[in-house]
Amino acid sequence: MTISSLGFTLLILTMNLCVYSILGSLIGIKISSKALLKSAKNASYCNLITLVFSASCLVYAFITRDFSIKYVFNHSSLSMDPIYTWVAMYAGNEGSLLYIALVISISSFLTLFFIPSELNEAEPYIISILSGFLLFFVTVMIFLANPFDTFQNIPKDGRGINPLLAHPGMFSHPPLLMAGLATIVVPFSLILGMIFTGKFRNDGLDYIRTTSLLVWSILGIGLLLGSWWAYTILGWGGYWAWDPIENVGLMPWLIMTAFIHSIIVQRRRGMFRVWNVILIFLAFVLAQFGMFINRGGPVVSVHSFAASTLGYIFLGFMLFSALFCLIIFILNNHKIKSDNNVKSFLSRESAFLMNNFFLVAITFVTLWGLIFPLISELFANETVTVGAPYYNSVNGPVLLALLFVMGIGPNLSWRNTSKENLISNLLIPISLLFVSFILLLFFSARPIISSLSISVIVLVLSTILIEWIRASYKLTKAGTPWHISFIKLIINNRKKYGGYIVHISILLVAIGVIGINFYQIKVDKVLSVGEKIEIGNYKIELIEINENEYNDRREKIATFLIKDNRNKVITTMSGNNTFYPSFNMASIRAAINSNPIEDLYIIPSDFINESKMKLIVSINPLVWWMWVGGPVFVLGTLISLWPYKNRND
Amino acid sequence: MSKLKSDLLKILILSSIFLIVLISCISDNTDNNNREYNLYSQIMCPVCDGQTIAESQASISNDMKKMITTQISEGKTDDQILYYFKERYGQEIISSPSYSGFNITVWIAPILIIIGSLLLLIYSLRKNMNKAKS
Amino acid sequence: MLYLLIILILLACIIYVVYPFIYQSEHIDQLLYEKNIKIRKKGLISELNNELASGILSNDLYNQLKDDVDEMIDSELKNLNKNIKIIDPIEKLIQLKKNEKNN
Repeated sequence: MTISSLGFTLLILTMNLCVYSILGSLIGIKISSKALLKSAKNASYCNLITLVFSASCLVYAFITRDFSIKYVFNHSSLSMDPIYTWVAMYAGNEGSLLYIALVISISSFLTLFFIPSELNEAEPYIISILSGFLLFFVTVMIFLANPFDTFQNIPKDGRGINPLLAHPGMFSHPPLLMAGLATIVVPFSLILGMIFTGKFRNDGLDYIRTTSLLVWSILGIGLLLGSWWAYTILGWGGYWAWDPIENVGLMPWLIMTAFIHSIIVQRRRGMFRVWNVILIFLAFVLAQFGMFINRGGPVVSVHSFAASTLGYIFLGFMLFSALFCLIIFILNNHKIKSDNNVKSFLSRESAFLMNNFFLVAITFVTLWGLIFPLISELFANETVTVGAPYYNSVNGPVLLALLFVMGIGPNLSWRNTSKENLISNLLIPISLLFVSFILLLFFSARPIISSLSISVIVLVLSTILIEWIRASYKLTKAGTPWHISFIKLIINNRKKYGGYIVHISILLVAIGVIGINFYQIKVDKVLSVGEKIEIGNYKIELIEINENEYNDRREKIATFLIKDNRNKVITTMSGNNTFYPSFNMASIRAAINSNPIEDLYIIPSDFINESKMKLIVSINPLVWWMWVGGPVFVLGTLISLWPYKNRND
Repeated sequence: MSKLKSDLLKILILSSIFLIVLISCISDNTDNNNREYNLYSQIMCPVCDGQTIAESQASISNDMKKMITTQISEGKTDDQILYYFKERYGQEIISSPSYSGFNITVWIAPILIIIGSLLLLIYSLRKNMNKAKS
Repeated sequence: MLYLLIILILLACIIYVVYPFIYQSEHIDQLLYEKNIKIRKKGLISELNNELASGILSNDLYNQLKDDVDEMIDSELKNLNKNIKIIDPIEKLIQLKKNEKNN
């Protein structure tokens, strides 16, 4: 038996286990057999073993350079640095499907292993959904996209890995993003399970909250890492290009953001039950839509490297899921409806409602921009492009409104906010908003929306700081400095304060976005060796141009000396332009000098000859804060998820 | 003033100063290059996947950028330059749909739908609140 | 060598899947659902108490929210159906076979 046939056999075994676990769960409920239900659950646990081994087969094949397997041939070579083996595994279509299947089996195992007893009745349905989802991927692999397909004649060397993917960002961005999108099935299955029991109660919500937060944060970090990767490798359009593939990753995340907030309302007040069902259905269907766009290629994108003709299978699956969700919703609508309603516009429930609304609105705007070229072709017979300007102008204001709600919302009380509370909580922040807006209007030469955005950030930051300081004071005993009480406050209110820290991370990202979008300076220059240019507070001198030839690429490196206004040396840095003949592709690495105030970003765009080159130099203010937002986001999520000691279950 | 209030005020003043210092440290924009880049970001690179000529390094993008620079020095307006490209390459070379004809739906539809749903939401909320009161 | 591996994995899966039919586990506590709802109520009330203590809520609002929680939990308890004892048909079959052997 070869490694490839072992890997493939394990996939077939997984398929059978999935079918058994689905049938066993559904029949087990019908005939009320506890044994059959447990057996079906065990079968689903076994999928973890089979897929771990199957994925290991593929990894082993990469490590041993087994070019008899087509996938290994297509995505590695003898000269490839072994460290990229991990990357090569999920760089292509078939391998990424295997990776996703593995992620689904791991998350299914964890979900079922830690499931609380409140969800006992729903468990068989949850198992069916999870196994059904896994079954789809495994079946696609077995019949249409086999990672273990082999050649008759074994080639001597492989094609190598796409040069654009040989970057640290590739180690984390795609796996996290794919994992985040795939694991949306977990909260989806939990909600569906609750609906199928016939009584959509409010229990199990703690578990749904925990799983959704984990899924949401993984997806969020994946997106931010993608931004960081795009920024440090030119050719991907800055940090966010509203590219179709980026959009289909963003939309489920936006809906999940609405979901994790809306779940809070259901948990505390029993409301928004219909919203939550619709939101999780939407998130799941959008994630499947993402799979279709990613692997189908009906839209043009910078991300096209994983394109295949498999697209229409995923389109079919997405339409099937959408239809399934619609039917379930219509049949169960009366059971899902909440008894309670929003009692006042000035309530926290109302703020959460606006939060839901704005997030869905941004998702809709993004979706509309994405499919409009297809609509335009169908109905007006005209090919158009919908690029960044559309998304920035339409989504921009809604994002701003969302930021505003993020500031106001936590200061409204549940049910209804009294006038006194409203004034005492919001007087200072709103005043600061007006003051900063007017100051910026006078002193900033930038468009009004930039001044407005900064003012809203001031509002949100001040609401958070005021709440923290006030609450710390309340908790302070005589003699204890308030920063100790502050730590105690966080520890005693982890959900709330973890959430605040996550909000701060969003503000940090917003600051970076405003900096680069509204305050960027960009210059095109032709420079010879020894020549200097001045931009902003920097003097840039081109020191030398080098050319290196390797057996798989040709590198041209430009080195720069950076001095400040007073001719003091800041640093030396280099950027390169590398050409890979076997892929007929060039990859450009910019020279970046980053500090909290701004980034100096030099792109070596064209090497004219050995001593002359063309540069694009830009100064990108405040981008550093965007990346700082990442670890703060993770910290906030961890604090929010940290369990309390006395959990009763 | 209580200690809480004075500490609060100190922190808020410090944060505001911090923000203002941050913004003012941002290098001043003395160059006129933004008009060029504005135009670059409105023209798609014809041979790349979804990039504008502002981001693309393809040789045809560089040629197009030179053409735009030449036309700016000839005194042509932004609209004239965009029209020049649209004539040669079709509407799809422009990164955003035009404000005319069918294309206006890309802008109008979402704005109308968002405002419409917002009004609907507020209306149904009021109805539920009044029902609860009676 | 790899044949051994696949056979081992196959055996492990088969055993694990058939195991529940051979060895029956404990019964589910019928009152578990009611217990869980009561625990949830305790959790929500303690959250409200925390917020009252740290001054985020006023007394009036605290009482109102507490009443809302009581109402919500009461209606859930009312909707809760008491399950009848579930007879496992496969367990029954095995019992029958055991009885036949013994006779």
